[in-house]
Amino acid sequence: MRYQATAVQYLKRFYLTNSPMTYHPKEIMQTAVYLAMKAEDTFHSVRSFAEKLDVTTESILASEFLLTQGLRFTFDVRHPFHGLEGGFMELLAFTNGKGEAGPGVKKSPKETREEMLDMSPPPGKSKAKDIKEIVIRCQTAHGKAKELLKTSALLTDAYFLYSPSQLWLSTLLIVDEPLARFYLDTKLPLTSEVKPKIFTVLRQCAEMLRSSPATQPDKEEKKELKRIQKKLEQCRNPQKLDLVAINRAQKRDPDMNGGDGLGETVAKRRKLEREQSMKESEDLFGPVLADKKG
Amino acid sequence: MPIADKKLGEGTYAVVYLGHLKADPKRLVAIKKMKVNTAEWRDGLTMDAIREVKYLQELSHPNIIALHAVFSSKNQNLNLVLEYLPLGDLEMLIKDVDGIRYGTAEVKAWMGMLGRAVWFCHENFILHRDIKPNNLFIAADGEVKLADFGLARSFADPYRIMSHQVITRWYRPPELLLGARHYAGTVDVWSMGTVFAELILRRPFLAGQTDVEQLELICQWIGTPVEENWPGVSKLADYIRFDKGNIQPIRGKEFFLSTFGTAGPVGVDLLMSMLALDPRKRSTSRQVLEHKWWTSEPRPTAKEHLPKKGGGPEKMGEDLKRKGGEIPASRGDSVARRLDFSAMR
Amino acid sequence: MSRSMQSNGAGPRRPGDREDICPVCKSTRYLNPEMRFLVNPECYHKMCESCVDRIFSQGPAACPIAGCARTLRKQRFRQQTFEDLKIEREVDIRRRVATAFNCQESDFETLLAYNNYLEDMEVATFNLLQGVDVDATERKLAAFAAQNAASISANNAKATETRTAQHAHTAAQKEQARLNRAGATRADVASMAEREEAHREAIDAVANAKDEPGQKVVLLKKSTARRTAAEKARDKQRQQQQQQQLQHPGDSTDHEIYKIQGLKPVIHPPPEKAYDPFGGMAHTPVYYTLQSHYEHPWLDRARTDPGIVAGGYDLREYYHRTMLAAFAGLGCFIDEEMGEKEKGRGEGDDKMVATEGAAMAAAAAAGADRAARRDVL
Repeated sequence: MRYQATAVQYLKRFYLTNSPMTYHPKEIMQTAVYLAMKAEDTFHSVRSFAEKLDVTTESILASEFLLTQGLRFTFDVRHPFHGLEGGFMELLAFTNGKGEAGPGVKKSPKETREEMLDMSPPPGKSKAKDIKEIVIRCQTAHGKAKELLKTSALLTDAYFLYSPSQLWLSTLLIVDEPLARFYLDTKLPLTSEVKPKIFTVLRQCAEMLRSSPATQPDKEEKKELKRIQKKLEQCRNPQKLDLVAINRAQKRDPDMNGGDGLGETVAKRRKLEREQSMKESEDLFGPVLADKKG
Repeated sequence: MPIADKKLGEGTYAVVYLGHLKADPKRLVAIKKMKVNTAEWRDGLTMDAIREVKYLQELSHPNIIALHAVFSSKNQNLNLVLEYLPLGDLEMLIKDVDGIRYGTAEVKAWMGMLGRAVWFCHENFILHRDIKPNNLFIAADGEVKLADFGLARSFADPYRIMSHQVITRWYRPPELLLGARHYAGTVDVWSMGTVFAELILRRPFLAGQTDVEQLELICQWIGTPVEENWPGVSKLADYIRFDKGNIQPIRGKEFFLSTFGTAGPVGVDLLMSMLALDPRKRSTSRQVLEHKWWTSEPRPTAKEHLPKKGGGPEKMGEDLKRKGGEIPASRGDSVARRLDFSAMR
Repeated sequence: MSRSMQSNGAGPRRPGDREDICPVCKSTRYLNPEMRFLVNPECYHKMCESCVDRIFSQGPAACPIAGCARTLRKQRFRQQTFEDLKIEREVDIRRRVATAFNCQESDFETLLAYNNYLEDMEVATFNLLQGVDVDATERKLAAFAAQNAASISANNAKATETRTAQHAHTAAQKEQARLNRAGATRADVASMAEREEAHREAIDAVANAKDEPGQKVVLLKKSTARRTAAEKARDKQRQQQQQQQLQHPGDSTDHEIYKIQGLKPVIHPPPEKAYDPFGGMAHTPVYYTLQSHYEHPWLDRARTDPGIVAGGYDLREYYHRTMLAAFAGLGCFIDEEMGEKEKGRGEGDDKMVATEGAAMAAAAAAGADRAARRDVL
């Protein structure tokens, strides 16, 4: 499950510095999933992967190195899922009367349990009558927050702007604000200066998450997507259309000079191209116009 | 931008160059160029490469080799710019019995550095899974640096199975030899314990030529794993039923003291805690560092006074280009051995 | 006592030379004008050279002076340097003691140690002089020499070094003085020549200026205007040197060699800090307290299934990881960090955040810059 989230983040990072017009997202996406699987220690051979997707192995491997370079070799992505699990564990502990408050907060487990019962209810519900309802409340909050993390957090830019702990706490804030407040109160003393700052940040993050695009596009959005796709077909970079061919060409001239030296054949070819283009531009009628199509 | 000067070593896995920074020619670095798309690997970037880059980028500690940068060259090669560690590795110092002498204080210093490196990895929830003296390089100032994260991975996720074919055989803990698919940081602690033993004995402690032989040696030197001393061991995937007559009970302190006496009774206590058969009874990396051996006499020698030997840049090239999990070939490898299966039934 | 040396090496003539009689052969200087007396350090009896030749050329023999039966060797006879034989003997004894006791004051850290050392040396010398406990003292000397052989040889080396340095220094000084003198004479000669030259030029100018009646040529007196550029340069240099010497009297190399060093300075090594096995990196979490057990139904199977547990899987590590992930980076505020990026480093609260922060920075758009910095371009 985690590698899917990682793959989405790889895509986001890649397209920070590359344009969809140069590399089509569909091709990059499958490579991103494959790379994410490798990075998250769930390895499958490329052949089995290609079979499942019904594409050639080459099409997956062709853009792999490109993706790596576009990521600037940062394969590690930190997700908020672990944090959410941890918070949930602690909330359950609090309901059991076994929860320990953070250092700096002087509350006994019993006190926290009482506080939980006293919590203001989520909007639209009545106040809890016994601890069992609180447990259920925690569980529903956990489930909803997880959903949010799996969808909105990945689709927005939240990963770039907030740390994983801030992410999961803000989802908790969205889903059940009193619960989140209670939880943070047990961690930080009321007088701490950093608390208001944290809350501001959490609210900002929550705003961003609320405004995320939906996972299932509705009709209007689908139309828009189709239009964009069509447009993309027209304005792609012709040189980078066929990544597989480029890859094969690179492999055909293996460069034996170590370090970052260019192979002689490539250098020669470039020189020829340059000379040719210079000759063309000196031509009386100007250089050849670029091909309009595609 | 680093510039490569000369080649240090080459293998099927990677080529290592010595280089320097363009901006400052005095700062030397080692450039490890990993071959993508070799004949034996058709699945794009190797897992080793990805793991090394991923984990070395995250770990910044004085006892872990530093990754300065990663760059790629035109022809799809991945280059890692690593710290330059010219003084060879710990294996060389151990093997040079005549040239290099060291005592308990030096062993304590080296083990302290290794302990800190492993603890830092575990604090960041990364298992190294290839700890051996070959992967412990010596920097110019005497610090021991853990390198080669090609087999590393993150851990502590419940229900995720992990491979048990990790760690070089001589340093592999019994739970991996018995096929456990779920394990914890204590596998690295077992490796640390065997390195500790090797530092004292100046030869590899448990050197088996096959997995079965390795298990045999563990039974002989530490004890046979059975339900009584390791509850649940019989449920492990590759558990072997041991001959009832041949069961070696867990060795006690006197046995270890007789073999590893130079470490002193406190040191032997630490060694035994690191080599406990049942991984749940083994120390964790934090407990290793909390042991009282570090604060008892003698004080660990300062890194300036540790014995050094110029292994030269060639050794670093040799070591880095090796693939994780390999045992260096020795004279006895090509000799056919007669395996003794009488203990196994 | 400076009397001119006699060319035959007989030494300065002392009063009472005429009465010098060799105690052995009773010959006087009248009979043998070139008579020289030699002394043997064994018994400090003096006799004339001819007696020494006569008696001891065939090998060691007994001392001819009545009452002294010590066997003497011809080699050990030498000329006495002091008028008083007692002093000669004392000097020889001191020289012998000094071969064993040759430390300087700068080798001792406390005055007490130095004084004790000097006392030992004097006691040994006194004993040898007075003939008190001679055997015991000789043995003690030998033992001391054997024990401190290393430091004695080191001190010897140091002493010879200082001596050669002193010689070199005085030689250099003499050389410098000679050069100065030569330079001065040359300068004198040169300035004389220049002055003549200037004089001649002036006369020529006057002679030639007769063609232009309107001009008057003024013969300047010897003033600064008439001095040539070379002279001025030399004067300046001399002034500079003098100034330097005035300003830095301590820098003059004379003082370095001849100053009294005093006791060896005692440098106490800084007290060793206690060994911290964690290398200073252990820390306790700021936001939470880690417990050893958390209730979570999903995790129960991991606690009980032997296939999982026997391999050593420990749920506590999972708790640690999740709690760490739950709060790592909570105190990191990206906009603040980006603002501080120009000033230097902007760290979060937790120490763990340092590594988490690195990861988070990798995840941040702004952190793409940081990754760029890492990519050493």
